[in-house]
Amino acid sequence: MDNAAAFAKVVSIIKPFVKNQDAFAQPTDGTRIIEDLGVNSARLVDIILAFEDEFGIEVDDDSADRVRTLGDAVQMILRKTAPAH
Amino acid sequence: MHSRAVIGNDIVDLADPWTAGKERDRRFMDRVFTPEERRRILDAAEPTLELWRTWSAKETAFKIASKLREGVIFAHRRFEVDPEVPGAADAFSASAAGHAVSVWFEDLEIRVRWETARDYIHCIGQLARRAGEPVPAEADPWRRPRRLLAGIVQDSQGLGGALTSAERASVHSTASERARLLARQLMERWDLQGAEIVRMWRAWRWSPPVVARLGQPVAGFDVSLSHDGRFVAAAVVGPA
Repeated sequence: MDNAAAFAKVVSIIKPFVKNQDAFAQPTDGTRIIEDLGVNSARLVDIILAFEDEFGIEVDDDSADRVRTLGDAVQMILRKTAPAH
Repeated sequence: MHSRAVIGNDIVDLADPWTAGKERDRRFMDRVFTPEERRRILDAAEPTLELWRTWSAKETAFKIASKLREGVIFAHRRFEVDPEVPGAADAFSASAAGHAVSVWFEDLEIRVRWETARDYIHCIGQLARRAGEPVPAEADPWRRPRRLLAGIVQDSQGLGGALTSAERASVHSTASERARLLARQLMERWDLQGAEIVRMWRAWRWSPPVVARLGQPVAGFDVSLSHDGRFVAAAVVGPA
């Protein structure tokens, strides 16, 4: 999976949880999930669970806490889905 | 011994349809709550209410822990809500605001209580014990000589005043602006000329808000802000 594909999936997963749809009109790697999109911390739990389901990964608490932006989410997913060498 | 009053708060808008019946979401429950907390929620007369009370207690405790320690992450199950409060005669438990419980995180004991209405829960907490040592009376916001003020407003209610440029630097939404304006109103109880509510950018996240003057925290004061759905809430502690 490449960066663009992961980004598109992340955006589609987060969309139903977004309070501030205006800020979501042009999402970028730097878009902050809580501050810019108005996602609250409880809904962020559901987003993390949705990442686990969609990408077949496990997201521990430390990794989840580091997801601040859409770009953070994409990078975490790419790391966790990368083939093992 | 910790002599500074340290508080946190969290508000939950119960009218948000997403909150309803969340206790039936097994994965959410497993991710957020300990087995004992899950049992307590599911056995409660109003499981949804108990779930969000427990959630808000964790969030409140997380805010307090973040003020005391660097690098605290919101790993929900590490903040354990314990309804068994020792020392029932203490000022917190005897408070007219109602029942209080403890939240434990590492060696910190954080005592929280709730204001519960038909459509919201507002949780307020204080640091009660650290490394086995209770906070001294002068740092306890529910005892003299401390005064704790808290407020809640709905989005339909106007809030006067204007934020300073330093305050605006960490404002990211209308709700976060309103929470600061509400806290500023609460702070009017004290003569705090030139005081601001600011957050500092630390490494990769904003610090918790502090009451500051000329960029330095004002001794004896603490502030906590929260918003969810239609509500914003603030709590401020300072000298009585």
